[in-house]
This record gives sequence, C-alpha cells and structure tokens, in this order.
Amino acid sequence: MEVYFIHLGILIGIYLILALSLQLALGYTGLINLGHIGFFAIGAYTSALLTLNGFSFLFAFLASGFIAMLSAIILLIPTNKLKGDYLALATLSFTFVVYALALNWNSLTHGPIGLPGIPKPYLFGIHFSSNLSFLILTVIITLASYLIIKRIIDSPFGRVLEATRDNELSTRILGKNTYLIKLYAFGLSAVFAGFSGSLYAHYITYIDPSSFTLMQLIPILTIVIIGGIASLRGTIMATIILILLPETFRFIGFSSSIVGPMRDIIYALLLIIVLLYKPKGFYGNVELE
Amino acid sequence: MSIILQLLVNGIIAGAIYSLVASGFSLIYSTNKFIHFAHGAVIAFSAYVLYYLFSVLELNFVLAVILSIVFASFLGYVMNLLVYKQLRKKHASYVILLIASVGILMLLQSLILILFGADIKTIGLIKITKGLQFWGVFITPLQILIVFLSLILLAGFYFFMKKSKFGKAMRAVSDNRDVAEIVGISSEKVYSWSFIIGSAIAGVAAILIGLEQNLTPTMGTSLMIKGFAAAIIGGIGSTYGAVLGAFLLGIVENFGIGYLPSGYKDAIAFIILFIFLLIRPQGILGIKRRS
Amino acid sequence: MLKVEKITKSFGGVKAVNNCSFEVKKGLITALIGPNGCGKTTVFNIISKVVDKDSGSVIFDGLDISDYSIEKISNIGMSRLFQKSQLFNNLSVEDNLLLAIDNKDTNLLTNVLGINRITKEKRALVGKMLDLIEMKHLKKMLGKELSYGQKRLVEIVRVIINPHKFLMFDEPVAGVNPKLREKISKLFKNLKKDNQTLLLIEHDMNFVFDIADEIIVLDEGGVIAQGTPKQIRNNKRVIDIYLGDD
Repeated sequence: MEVYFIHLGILIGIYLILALSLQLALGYTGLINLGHIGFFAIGAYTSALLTLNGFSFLFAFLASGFIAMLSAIILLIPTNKLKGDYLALATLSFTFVVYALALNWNSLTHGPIGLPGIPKPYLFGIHFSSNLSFLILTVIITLASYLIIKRIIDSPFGRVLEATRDNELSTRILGKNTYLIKLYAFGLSAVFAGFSGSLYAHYITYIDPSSFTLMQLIPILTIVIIGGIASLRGTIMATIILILLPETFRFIGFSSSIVGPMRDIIYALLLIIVLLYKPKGFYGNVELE
Repeated sequence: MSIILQLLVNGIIAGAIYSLVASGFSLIYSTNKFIHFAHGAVIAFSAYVLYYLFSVLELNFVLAVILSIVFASFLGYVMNLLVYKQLRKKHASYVILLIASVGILMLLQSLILILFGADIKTIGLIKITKGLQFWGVFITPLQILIVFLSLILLAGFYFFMKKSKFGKAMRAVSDNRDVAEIVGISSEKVYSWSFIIGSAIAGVAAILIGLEQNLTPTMGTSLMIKGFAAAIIGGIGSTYGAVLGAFLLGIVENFGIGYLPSGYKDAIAFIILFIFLLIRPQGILGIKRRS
Repeated sequence: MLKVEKITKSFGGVKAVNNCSFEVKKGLITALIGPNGCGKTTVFNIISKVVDKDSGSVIFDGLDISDYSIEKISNIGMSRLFQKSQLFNNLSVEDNLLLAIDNKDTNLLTNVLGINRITKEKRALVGKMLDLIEMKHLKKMLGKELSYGQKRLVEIVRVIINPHKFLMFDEPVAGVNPKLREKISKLFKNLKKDNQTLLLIEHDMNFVFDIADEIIVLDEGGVIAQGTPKQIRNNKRVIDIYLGDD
C-alpha cells in the first residue's frame, strides 16, 4: 500500500514539472505549444541512451534538459512568425515528428522495442534504487523546478513574459526584443520538460515510443487549463487532483486494461468541459487567446 | 520502369484515399474556419461501426455501409452541436476550437479502445484479393474501385458546391459570414450542414479504408495527419487544393519509401506538413487563409 | 528632428501613401491631419516600422532608420501611441507603466539572480505620473477592468514615461469626454514647455488648433499643405477637402 502512495507521489512530481513548464510557455508567455510531449520524449531518450552507454546520471540528467532546450530553439526559430492556431499545428506536428523518429530510427532508439533496463540514478554516492529514495529525489527536483520557475515569474522578466502574451506589438514598441524573450521562455520550458523526461525514464526503467504520443499531452494540457492560465497555484492543485482522481477507478473494480483508456477519456472530457464552461480555470484570471 | 509505375499507381491509390479524408475536412474548414482535428475520429469510429455491423452482427453488407455512413454524418453533427456551436457562442478563438477538437479526437480514440480493444481488426469482405495486372503493375479490384469512387465523389461534390443553392450558401458563409447573414443565410445552419456533409464523406472514406486496410484504434490520428497535410500542401480552404495535395502526398509518400525504410512512411507526411507550415502555409494553390 | 522622404506604400492595388515627404521640427507640437483613409496611420506605421514601406526613407536625428527593427526604433528614442488600445489587459496599471520604464527586464539572468530590481525610484516615478492623471488609486487595477477613457489615459502616460526623444500619438483624444480631453491637452502643453517634440494624428480640430504649433495636411497619401494653424485654417484647398466651411 505504501508503495502505491510512493508511486503516486513520484507521478505527481513528474507531471507537475511537465505542467509547470508548459504553464511557463503557454500561460505566461502565450506560446501555444502542443509539442511539449516532444521535449519530454527527447529528455527521456537522451537520459536513457546516455546512461545505458555508461555516462553518469548527473551528466545524462543535465544533458536531457540541454538537448530538449536545443530542440526547442530549433523549433521556435522558423515558427516564430506563425500565428495562433498555425503555431499550435506546427508544434503539434513536432510531437508527431518526434514520435515518428522514435518509432523508426531503430539504430538509435530501437524503435517499437524501446529501451529496457534503464539504470536507477546513482548520484553523489547514493544509489536511488528503492522507490522511497526515488521519491525523495523526485521531490527535490520538483521543488527546485517550482522554485526556479516561480522566481522567474515573480521577477521583472516574468512581467515581460506576460506582456508578450497579452500584446506582443505593444511589448516591442516599448523597445523589448520579443523574439529573444520567447526564445528564453520556450527554451526554459523545454529544459524542465526534458528533466521530467529523464526522471520518468529512470523511474519506469523502460521507455518506448508509445509513451510519447499526443494522448499524453492531453492530461498536461487539461491540468494547465483547469488549474488556470498563469496560475502556479492552480497548476499544483490541478496536478494533484487529476493524478489522484482516476486512481479511484482501480478501487471501483475496473480491469487494468480499461483503467488506462478510462483515464484518458476522463482527461479528454474534462478538457472539453473546462473549455466550454470555465475557460479561465479555477485559479486563473486570464483567458486563453 | 514497372517499379516506378507501380509506385505511381500505389501513390494514386493512397492519394485517392487521402483525398476523401482531406475533402471532407477541407469542406468543414473552409466553412467553419477552424481545424477540426476530430474528423479523423469520425473516420475511425465509422470504420469500427462498419466492422461491428458487418463482421460481428453479420448484417447485410450494403445495409451496414449505409448505416455506417449515416453514423458518421450523425457523429459529426453531434460534435458541432454539443461542442463547437457552444464554444462559438462564447466567441472562442480558433486555437480553443482546435484544442477542443484534439480533445474530442482523443476521447473517441480511447472509447474505441475500450469498446473494441487494441488488437487489429479486419473487415473480411473480400477474402481473396487477387491482384490484376496491367502493364506490369499490380492493382486489386478494390483499389480500382477506390480510385473511381473517390473521383466520382469529388466530381459530384464539385458540382454541388458550384451549382446548388446550398453550395452557394456555403461559399457565402465561407467568404464573409457577416454579409451572408445580412442577406438572410443562417450561418449556424450552414455550419451544421457542413459537418453533416463533410462527415458523410468521412464515412465513405471510412468504408473504403476499412476494406483496404486494417483497423487500429489510432488510425484516426494518422489519417487526420495525412488528410490535414494534404489540405495544407494543396492549399487549405480550397477543396480542389485538398484533393491536389492528397494525390501529391500519396505519390511522394510511395516514392519516398522506395528509398527509405517503409516505417518512415508516416513520418514523411509529418515532415512535409511541418515544412509547408513553415515555408508555405498557404499551400501550392496559395489560397489565403482568412482575411 | 524627423524627416520623411518620398515614402510610398501600396496595399494590394491601393496606394495608401504616395510620395509623401515632410519634416517635423524639434521642440514643437506637429499635427498630421486629413480625411479618413488619407494614409496618416500608415505613415505612422511606416515610421515606427510596424509596416514596411515600398520606397523612400525615414531619417531620425540624422540617422537613416529605414532598416531598423521596431524595438530598435523605440530604443533610439521614439515612443508611440496606437489608435486602438494596446494595453496589457491582464497586467495592472502599475505593471503597464513599470514595463515602460524598465529597460533591463529582458535579460533573463540578471532578473532571476535579482540583480535587476524594480527600485523605489522607478515605483516613485510611476506614482508621480499616476498622480498627474489622478489615477493613483487605480494602480492595482488590471488593464481590462478600466473604462475606455482610463485606458487611453494610462496608455498616453505609458508612452510618455517610456524614455524617449520623440513622441508620436495616434488620435489621443478620439472618443474621450471633454473633461478628459482637457486633461490630455494640459499634459501635452506641459510636455511642450519641457521642450519635447510631439507628432500627433487627430480629427478633433478644436484640439488640434488649440495645441499644435505646426500642421501638416495629408490627402490621398501625399502632403498637400503645411504651416501654422492660422495658415492652414485659411488654406482654401484644405477647407475644400477636409475642414469644410466653419
């Protein structure tokens, strides 16, 4: 039973980092990024491949954030001029491209077979092999991520991000280079998504392309919108509730093969309902443009 | 030489299928002006309905086909009624409509998983697909049927849009909704009908795809990517563009896997889509998106 | 201070600006007037680089700024008001103004490490400006919660508080009530006393004749008259095209 709660705790941590980082790009900077799962995937595969090839966890973890950031920059540079739904589509295509590469680049990612046997983290002399120790690691990384993101949001830079979201032209007219601002925000958002991917890979110890599809984006998107655009507090609450809620299905007695899709249906339904009836979310004050 | 011809024919067959997907989608897009991603789910679900009616309940094939197409139409109509119409009332942006449609797509996909399971299904109508051979090129009767049907459908569609009163109303709303309303055209009615007709075309696509390929729960998503890529390549907002793009995509895809491993077939569509979004979002025919 | 030379701009087949040339002198309030559609806002957009011109050049303080970006033009001293409200709707009035003063807020590192901070001086300056327009009690209100007149006022103040050498206002008093118009007029006159340079677009002729030192009249994309308010008021062509008989 205890193991179960530890498992939930770790999941909440991983999803929270993903949700907070999406909130940074989407909620605060106004970048309609539907490709966030792509960064998650890149982080997971980078970390897994590096550690499987003998590199240290610390190096792999940092590299996963770095490579994710690089891909974000590469993605944003050509798409900068795209507006609203076209940007959404370009980022959406990014998710599919990453998935397709993961599925087909057999020499690198082993395709549909995936990468088994990803080692547990070994960091500063501690082997994080037990679930409890992994939970502690997750909590530390999640807390650090939250604090860094909050620091950015509360600083004058955070104000510029929100200005860019609200009115990019106005921000430029005040002499600020919004292209650079967006690059920073997008890159940072990807770094944390990459870290989250690394944590995921080393927790589950096996990854394959099926964990990184559009389907996995829905819960994150739902969390960000339900919690409220540009509300960190809302994101935290929404993550906890949305992770815990479907778990009740296990106790009602549904079979395991149903719980997965059932959970996805709940998330999708919630997303649609929130968009229809409470587009500002529960803690947000800003509407998605 | 016959290899090139074979690839070309395969490309045309694929293109015919994609054009059915893309034209229904394009009709909906040009009228409603947002990207109805859930169109793929309409196709997937209808294919599974056909499977259920024909292969499980063992209904008469023609009856099953008709019911499936009606179902498809109805599903599209309901999506508009329950979700899109309500969002429009709240002046939702195109981004929100897109996100909602992605939500609907995922919802239906999961529903298919629960109802039918993850394993591959086949509609076993034609037990033996013995290929015919023309000039060294293999093609099955079903495939010939697909190409013909799609061309007929598209021709019929073209005349409908150009000549019928309703087709004109649709184009009016598509060009300028406010002016259309002033002259008495109900835009909500037009939106509704665009979903009914567009989804019916999706239903036809579902039948043919279901017969030609296997059914998987995620087929909706990948078909939607292809359909959408086709529409963008040709020029979104124009149904002719969607058809043109569809055939081009089919041909490029098939020639592509002549050189790349076949697993990359889907990836080709995604990558072409991505490139077009960046370099030429108005597509080959260069249709202006929205004024 | 600002020289616009032979600029031309077409949209589709329509020539919005046609070989337009004029000069704005330092320390004066210059008004750009003319009938609707004569190209005034397009000229503004070309100067601030929101729109690219087809040909011609824009010279500011001796520099050819034709190839500068929107941000760079702002940073060399041009501050501009738009015709349509461009406030940051989800940010407070105070934040809207702080964004205009703070020019170090785009550096991620210094901001996160706390090296760049909104100092007491900056907040005090914002407070002073808000006092000037009697809106200090509204400083925490969000942009979207303000009335039209309040929005306009905050935006005008934002343009002024932004470090500048040259101010551009596109229809600053459009749709505002007479009391507010009076406030804005006073504000502009104080700027003039301060030796600042203003260029504005306006349709409200009373406002223009009251406040402008120099008037430039545009029609169909080109300059048809330039001079003091008295000269313009008596210019027959301008009366025909725009002013109408008193």
